[in-house]
Amino acid sequence: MNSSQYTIDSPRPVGQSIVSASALTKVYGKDTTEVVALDHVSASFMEGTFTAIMGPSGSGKSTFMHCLAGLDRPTSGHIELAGSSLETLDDNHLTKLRRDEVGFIFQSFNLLPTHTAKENILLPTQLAGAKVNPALMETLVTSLGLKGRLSHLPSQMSGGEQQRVAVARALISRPAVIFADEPTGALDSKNSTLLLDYLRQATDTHGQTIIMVTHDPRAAAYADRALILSDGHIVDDIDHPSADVVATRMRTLGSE
Amino acid sequence: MFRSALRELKFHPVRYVAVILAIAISVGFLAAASVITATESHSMANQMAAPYSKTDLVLSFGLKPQSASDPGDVTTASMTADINAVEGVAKAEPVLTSDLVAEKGSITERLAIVAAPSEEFRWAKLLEGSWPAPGEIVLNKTAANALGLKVGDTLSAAPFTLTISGISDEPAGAIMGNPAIVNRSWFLESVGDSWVWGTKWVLDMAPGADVDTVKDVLSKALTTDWATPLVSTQKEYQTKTVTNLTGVDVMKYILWVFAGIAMVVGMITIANTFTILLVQRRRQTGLLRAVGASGKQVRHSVWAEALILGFVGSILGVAFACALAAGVGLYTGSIHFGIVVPLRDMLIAVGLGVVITFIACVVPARRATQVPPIEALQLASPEATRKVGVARAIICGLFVVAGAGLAVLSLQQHKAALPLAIVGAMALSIGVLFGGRLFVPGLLKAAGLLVKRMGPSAATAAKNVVRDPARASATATALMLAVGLIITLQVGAASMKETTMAKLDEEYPIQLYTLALPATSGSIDLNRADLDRVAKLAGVESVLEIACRQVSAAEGEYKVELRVCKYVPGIAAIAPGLQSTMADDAILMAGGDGTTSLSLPGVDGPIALTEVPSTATSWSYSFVSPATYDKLTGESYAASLAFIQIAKNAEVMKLASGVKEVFGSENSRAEVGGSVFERYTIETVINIMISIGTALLGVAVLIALVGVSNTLTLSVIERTRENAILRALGFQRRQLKIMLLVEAILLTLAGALVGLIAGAFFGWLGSTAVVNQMLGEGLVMETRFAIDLPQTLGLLGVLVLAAVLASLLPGRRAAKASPVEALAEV
Repeated sequence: MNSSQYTIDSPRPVGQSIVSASALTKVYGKDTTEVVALDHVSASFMEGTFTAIMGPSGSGKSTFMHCLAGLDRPTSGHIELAGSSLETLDDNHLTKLRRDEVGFIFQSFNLLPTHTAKENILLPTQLAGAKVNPALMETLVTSLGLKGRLSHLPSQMSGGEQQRVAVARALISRPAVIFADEPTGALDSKNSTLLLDYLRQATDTHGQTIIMVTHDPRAAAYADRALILSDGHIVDDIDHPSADVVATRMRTLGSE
Repeated sequence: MFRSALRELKFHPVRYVAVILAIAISVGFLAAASVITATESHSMANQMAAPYSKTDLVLSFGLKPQSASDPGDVTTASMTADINAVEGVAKAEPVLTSDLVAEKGSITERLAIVAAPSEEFRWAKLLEGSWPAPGEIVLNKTAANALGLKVGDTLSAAPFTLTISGISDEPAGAIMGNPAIVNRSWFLESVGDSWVWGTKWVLDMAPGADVDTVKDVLSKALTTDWATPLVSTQKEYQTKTVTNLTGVDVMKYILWVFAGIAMVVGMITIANTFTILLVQRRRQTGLLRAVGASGKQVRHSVWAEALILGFVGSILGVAFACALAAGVGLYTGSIHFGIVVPLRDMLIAVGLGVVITFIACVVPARRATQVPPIEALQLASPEATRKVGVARAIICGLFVVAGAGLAVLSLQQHKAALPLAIVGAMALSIGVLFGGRLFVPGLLKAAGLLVKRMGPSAATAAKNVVRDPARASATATALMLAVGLIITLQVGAASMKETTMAKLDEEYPIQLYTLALPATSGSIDLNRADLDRVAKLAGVESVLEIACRQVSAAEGEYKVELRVCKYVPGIAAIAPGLQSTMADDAILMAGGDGTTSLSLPGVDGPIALTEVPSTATSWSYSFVSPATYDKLTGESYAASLAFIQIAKNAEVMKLASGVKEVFGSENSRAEVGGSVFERYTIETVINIMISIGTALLGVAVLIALVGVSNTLTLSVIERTRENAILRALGFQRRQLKIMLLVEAILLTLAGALVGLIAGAFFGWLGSTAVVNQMLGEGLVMETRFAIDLPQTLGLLGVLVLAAVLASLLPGRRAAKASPVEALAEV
């Protein structure tokens, strides 16, 4: 690969860009152990869209997401999230931005084991010192089928239930963007379908922006758009991906 | 397996810092007690032997037990002449020693004085000035500096006033007082000659004389039916003095008791740390087991680790002890004679250190190897799933019930009050300490409820602190033990003090009195000017002047000279507990029995009075009612006796010495007495006891707090992922730190609270038992419960502060964790 920059101009279907990255580079290690995880990646994500980021292991997709979400700092490049330039923020402001504008859903749920389901859901609002919107809480709990499970600890719930608690936690603060990192990775197919349907619906009915890292073509088919990463570059940008198209594209990655 | 243990230590040295610290402090305390006492006693012995260091022989006498009678005509002087007459003796001289207390303002300095030797026996050198003439004294540098005096200044050391003639090079003496040299003839005249049979002589032999021959001749010449001479060479004497000095050992053993307590606390801390270390290594242990390591091999690897750690920590502890002893030696001046490190004690300390570390690791090691390989390899977080054993509840419950029963028994009778109280307190302690697992989590939960509303950090902390009840309990238990002991000591001592003071109020109601001694003029009035001066002293509320007569009384056929004073109602106002009036036909006397009759000369003929005991009197004066007093013959002196009422919060000792100073002067001869001196002595002794005990037990608290920090650090490591989630969700670094801080404070306070309550009870129980035991059957005395509030609050303050410190390092570590690193999918 000789081109160090491979930029795709995304079409702008709805609204305006809520997250954007330009010439994002992340290098791990030094000298001989240097690994370039991201190599001048640029992309922007429109408000109210559901994007899937795909790629084989080591393609840099997780690093890309961590940088976009303000969890990790890139080596160089520029990121704008909900109107703020992340590189200008110190740790405290970055933390605050994450708290107020970003929601997370992780593969391994990452609930606090000492907190009940309800306490886990309310944690972000509690941290922000904000008042909970009871109507929103009610809607989330009902729609996610968590009624009756609210006083349970994570260890007393199934994987599917835990992930739904994580989804409620991500949505409760009405964040600008939700980042989901392999959200179905630890779920069976029934629970995966339930979860993806729910996320799709969140975008369709509430205009929730979602950026999801996955390696499952069926999951990517729920998205409006799929970005494919390989070796630290974006190699494809598929509009309204179907599982078949994505799967084919993924298979041919190595042979280019 | 030993190699795997070493590797573990090599790759994760930081994990072991706390364990090593806990061992080092525990062992260091024990070793320091030994090194310091050895160094100090060595120095003391050398100081004692100093006057004998420039002589050929030292002679003293041993009395024969079966001897008939004391040959009363022998004096030190005549014996000295006899010794000098012995062939082969060039010169012999008795060593004369005594004690003085020098005072300057509020500074007092104990001096070990010795009569200046002849030139050939001199052991000290003068740094400046000259050897003492009569009425002069040579101080060493330490004493001179402490008193702020120089050559030519006047030193007051009651009853003497001496002029400083020189400064010697003698080293400071911490235990015996600083050495000082006075003139020999002045010593004989003012202090007096020493008792011949208790005296030691230094003697030089004539040129060419043979030691054994001289010894022999002396022995033959001086042996009598009454005593035999003991002769040793200078070398022999020096060795004997140093080895015979064993009094200081008692101090060492008392210190060892405290050190033992610190070690127990240390052991709990170490066991706790091992548990956590092994939980962290669960997967690794599982892997080892999976590839074929037997449970025994894994266990032995942990044992090896414990032995290495115990050894390293103990050696560090000994080094620390030596450094501390050097510091103390520098302060007391004993370093002059060198630091003495008793090897046997050091071996014991190191051995104990290794043993407690080993014992502390046995249970955690066994638990670690009980984990089946498969389970260990799973990613399950080591959540607390251990159930509280029913057996534990029953056994601890039995201990508590038995302990409480014994405590009640101890309170109900006197004969075995103390032993019962001790055994009862021990049983209760065992029940409470080992049952910590049963109630500490509940306590922490309750405390958590209190802080829950104080923001997300505190709320999260409240949840975290009870997530591993076993670990939290063990951490709190270590503190419980340490704090409990301190409070026991403080409450026990304060209660004893209150009880004793109440007793003194009752038995010696007169705190301070002054009584005029008969002057040459025949007057028994106190000096008017002196009385006025005393009334103006700070802390004097009022002075009650009491009229007395000096009379000759008749008790049967015996004549007694009596100071009879007028019992005015004002006496009761000064000393509550005394009656405001007394019977006309009685005389209040020390030693009165309520029946003996005494006849006093009255203007209308003899007056017969009954001798009645009273706490208002002393052996120096008696009381009669005003009516009776007015009928007595003999001149009445209006201010012969004065009771001094001391204001509350007065600086009692300063006041008392002020009164002594006024009435102790040459021109106003008066006796000063009262219970103020006893009070002060008791108060001082108890206060010193509390301070020293608290300082010593403070070491145990220190170790327990290392344990708190340790528990936090290791749970931070364990909770890396959780802390990362919190960070990802919007927890600020500061909030994480606050969370750990609240955890530390909750743990500390839970332990401290139980320690406080238990300690207060034990302190009260102990002091009651001591009083009852001393009183014996049948007598009742109310024991007062007292707690020194400033001291207790101070302790709590220190604990909270220490908890804050304990959370600093773990907090920093937690805040450093990057959210991404932690969220990396395993």
